[in-house]
Amino acid sequence: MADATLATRRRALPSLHGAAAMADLFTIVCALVLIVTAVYLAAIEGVLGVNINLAITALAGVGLGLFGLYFPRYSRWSSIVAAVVGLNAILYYMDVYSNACRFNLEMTVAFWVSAVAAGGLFTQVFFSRKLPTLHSRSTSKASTNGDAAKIRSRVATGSIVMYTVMIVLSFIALVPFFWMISTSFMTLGETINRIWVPQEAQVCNYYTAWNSVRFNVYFQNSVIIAVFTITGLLSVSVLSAYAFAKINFVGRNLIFTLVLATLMVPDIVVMIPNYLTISGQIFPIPMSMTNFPFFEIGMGRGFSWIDTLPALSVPFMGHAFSIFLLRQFFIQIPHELWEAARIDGAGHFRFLVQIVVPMSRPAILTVTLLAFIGSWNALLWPLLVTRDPLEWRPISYGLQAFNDEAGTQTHLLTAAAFITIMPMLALYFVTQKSFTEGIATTGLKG
Amino acid sequence: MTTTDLQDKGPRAVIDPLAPPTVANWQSVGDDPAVRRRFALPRNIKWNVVRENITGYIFVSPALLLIFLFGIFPIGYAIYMSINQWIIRRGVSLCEVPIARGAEPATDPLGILRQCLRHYEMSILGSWNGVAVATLGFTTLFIVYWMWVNAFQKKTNGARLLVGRFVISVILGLALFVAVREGAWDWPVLLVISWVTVAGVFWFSATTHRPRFEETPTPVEQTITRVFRFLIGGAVGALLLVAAVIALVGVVLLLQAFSFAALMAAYVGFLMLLAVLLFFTQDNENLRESGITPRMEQILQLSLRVFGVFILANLTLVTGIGIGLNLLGADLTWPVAIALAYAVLIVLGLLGIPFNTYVLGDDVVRLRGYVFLLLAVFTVIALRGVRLEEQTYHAKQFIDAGLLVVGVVLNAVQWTSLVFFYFGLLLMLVAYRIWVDAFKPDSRRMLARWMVALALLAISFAVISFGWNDMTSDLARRDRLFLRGLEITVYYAFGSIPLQLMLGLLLAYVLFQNIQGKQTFRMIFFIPYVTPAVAAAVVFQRIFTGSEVALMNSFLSSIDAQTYRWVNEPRPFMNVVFGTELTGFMAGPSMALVSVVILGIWTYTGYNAIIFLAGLGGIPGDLYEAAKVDGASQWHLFRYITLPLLSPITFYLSLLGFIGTFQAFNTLFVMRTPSAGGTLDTAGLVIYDTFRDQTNYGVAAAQAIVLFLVILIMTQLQRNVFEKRVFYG
Repeated sequence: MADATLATRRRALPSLHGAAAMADLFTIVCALVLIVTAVYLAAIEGVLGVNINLAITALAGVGLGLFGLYFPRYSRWSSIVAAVVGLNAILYYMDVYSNACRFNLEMTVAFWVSAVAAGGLFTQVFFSRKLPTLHSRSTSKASTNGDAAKIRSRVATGSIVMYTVMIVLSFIALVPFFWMISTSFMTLGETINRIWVPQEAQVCNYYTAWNSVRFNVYFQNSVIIAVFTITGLLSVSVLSAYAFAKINFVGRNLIFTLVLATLMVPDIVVMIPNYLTISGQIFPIPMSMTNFPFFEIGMGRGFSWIDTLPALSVPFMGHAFSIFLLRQFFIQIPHELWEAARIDGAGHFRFLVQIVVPMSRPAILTVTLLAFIGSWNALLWPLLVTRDPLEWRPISYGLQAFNDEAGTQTHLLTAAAFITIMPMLALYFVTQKSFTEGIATTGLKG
Repeated sequence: MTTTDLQDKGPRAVIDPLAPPTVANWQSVGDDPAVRRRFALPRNIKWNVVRENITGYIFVSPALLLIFLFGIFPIGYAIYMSINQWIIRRGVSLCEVPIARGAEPATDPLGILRQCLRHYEMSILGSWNGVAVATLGFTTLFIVYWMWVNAFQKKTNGARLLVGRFVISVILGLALFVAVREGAWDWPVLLVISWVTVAGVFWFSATTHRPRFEETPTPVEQTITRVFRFLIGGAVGALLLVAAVIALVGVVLLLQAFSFAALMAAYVGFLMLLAVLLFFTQDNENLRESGITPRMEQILQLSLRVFGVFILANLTLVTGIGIGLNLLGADLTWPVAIALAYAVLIVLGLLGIPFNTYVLGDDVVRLRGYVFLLLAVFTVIALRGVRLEEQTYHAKQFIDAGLLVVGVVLNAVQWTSLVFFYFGLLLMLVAYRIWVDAFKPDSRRMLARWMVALALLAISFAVISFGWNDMTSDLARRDRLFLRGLEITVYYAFGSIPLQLMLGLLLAYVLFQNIQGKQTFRMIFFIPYVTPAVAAAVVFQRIFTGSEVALMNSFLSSIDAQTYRWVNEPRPFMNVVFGTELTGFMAGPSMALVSVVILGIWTYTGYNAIIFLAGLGGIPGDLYEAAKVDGASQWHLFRYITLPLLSPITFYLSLLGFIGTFQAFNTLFVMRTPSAGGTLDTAGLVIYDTFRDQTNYGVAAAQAIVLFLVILIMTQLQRNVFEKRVFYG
């Protein structure tokens, strides 16, 4: 029996070969770091001391690491959870030590814990199984096409020049980010002088930007708006794109042409009457009662949707571009699949939900990403339909308003800007390949 | 029973074709006799097909509802808003009951609707009735024209046909006459006269349409025929217009407040819409690709011809009226106005410009069609001189509502600047033709032609800008702001897009080579596109501030170059950088706008590079091999193979770029500072200010539509000029 358990344990240990093994290696490293941290802190502060929270965090990380170790299939998830746990630690410590503008011991420890866990996640994403690509034509051709390789000059000739050009250009592309991040850690005095790197990292800037400038409200608003918009957009677009692609109904082409024609119209023409519609000045709009019984998403007062969530999300739910994109994808699904499903007794809705949607993850991911970018960037429409600055305005407004008020407080402003950028950057890094491919193929298809 | 029968009809065909349907041989629910009785379907409609259609509509309905409500309806409503003066009573909640002074609150939906609208004082069209009935009038005219053209195309007995057409036109004329219930005495007379003339013209043009000459006509005969046809076409157009005017007048008389300026206002508004329709659907390939059947395409072409005639006729009549009003003032009568319209038509016909594209149905020569818009602008200019007594206020309001803004204000004195402006445009067209002709293979003295074309282009720029400055110097402040906004938008677009494309192409070409870390570089260059626009704008505003310690200035001073005040500098960059003293359009963008242009280039270069990269991958390698065998160098490969094969992508990116920059709002809104002195206010920002700060909804809507038209024209121009160069391998 001992042999059996030993054998299973040996099989359960991850092998150390190959790129996927790097991910598992990092999981092991994360787990070890967390174990060491827990031991260290328990030794210094005592298990029942003030830092019980950190101890619990560390133990949770340990548990997750061991879990990932013994069940390699779930190691990715466990490292994700470990990263989240680590971030929670740092947020908690930023909250507790908010007046400490410098990194102290606990904050340093919490920071490194979460950094290591996040690094594990990063490696998992980059070195493990790739996400499905939308069109393998564009990138695979670029990388593996032997014919096209003919125009590539040999690496020796002129490559120094090319490398220099690329490095200079990428430096130019990244300089604003460097400046932003380094300024966000400076004090006010340091921003006035021409220095590039701050003496000490002032973490309190982020805390001040988050709380004093009420960025928590704006961030939360933006997230809720994005989630609502994307949910609505996906459900509406998937349904109608499927209908345009697969169902033969009378006037299908005409209606699709009409839908596409709305892409030609610039936003500013449509926004002014939409403002009037939203504020109920053209006809009475539904659900604009003063007390909506189900949930508190701020249904309108009187007959208008001004300063409510539906005003910010509903107009973007019917977007012709996502319908077009999804339709182009659904058209490629072979008709035999539909006939087979039909024989098995499925109707259109069941076929759509159970077969088509799981097959079309790349397209849906692209639509989601584009919708998220659009929602995060939106400034003009929220400015039009909201009056109370703190009620439902998104983060783009928050940053712009802070820019107007901040004056010389560049360090707080750049901290706020980084808070705005961070979700987009994180999303970009995680879904990078399919992001780029999605944008490139939508660019080609026009 | 063959196997094909089995596959077509299913199990029923096998069992017994004469037995009544039982449960065993149903194909669908629709075979159940009870269901058929209940829904009473005719025998030949398949229940499955109906279900399929219904499913399709159900699936599409939420999207359609949203797109109609927030995408299509607003366009029409924006046009309607733009021709009205909206005065909003503040402090009154909308659509609340009760709202009118001393009136009972409405309980029916239509009453609530009317209440909702009542708090706007609309000074021109007055009510929804007018709009609806006006549409009815236009539809009637369209039916008349359709009948006319159809009668033409059927080659039946001539005389019987003519009598038939005459009778139809008289009947319709009487019908319209009956629709005029009250009004001045001369409207019915004019109505009858117009219909009689139209009928006469039907007959006249029918006789000229038959080919008279069996052999090839001589050039003199051809010229005479052409002139004759121009005149007839013009006459037909003008009279159709008069009929339309009278139809609309008769309809508008049903409303409570009638004014001549109101009529003009509605007309020019609809004209712009129809011009948009024309330009939008001018290209046949567009139509075919969108899945329109040949029948529908026929109908569309027909309606294009009708609307073309319609627009032309309207424009000429209104031009004639405008000229007449300018010359005669209030002494203008209808006959004089119509005579002036004829004069304008004849002049234009002799110039051969728009007639033989739309009236006679020749092949559309696209460049010529743009003279339409000049004509429209000219018309609107002419309207500026409307000087009727109590209608002056309304007309002025309408005109100030921004539809005029794109064009020109004209006093009686400033005809010269208008002439300069159009002469400059004409020179530009001529220069373009010479340039294009110079590239034809059999042209001689290519270099001389190039020089001539370039010289003409330079002269045309100078003339246009002189005319434009002169014309726009007398505008009201609001209109001047909007025009300046358009100029700034043009600077922004032309400043950022060529540089973006070139840098993007360079990047893509380099990335395509075999360098290490290609994936990393791709990732890095795409990051600026991904960052939220507001955050990037905030960061760039701080980098480009005017103080000496800002990043850009400290970088410049570290390499001993001159520092500028960037975002805080309202002076034009030509003056600041080169020390010149230019003013107006030729001075260029301000330094603040230059910073925004740099931000635009920073953001979109990576995006362009990625798309170019995808395109580069699609070029087949055999071309390069063959060229290398023939001894081509890297530069030749790039110039003669890569560039042409990338031209569809370049074209698409530049189109998208122009549309995007003309609509740009976020970055400019954030980077706007008071010290920039309004030099960052592009058209979108001006519209926002008008809408938000001045709550001038009608003007804002009109400005938005003008911007839309400008974008549309730019898109069409780009397609016309560059699409010949695009090489679709």
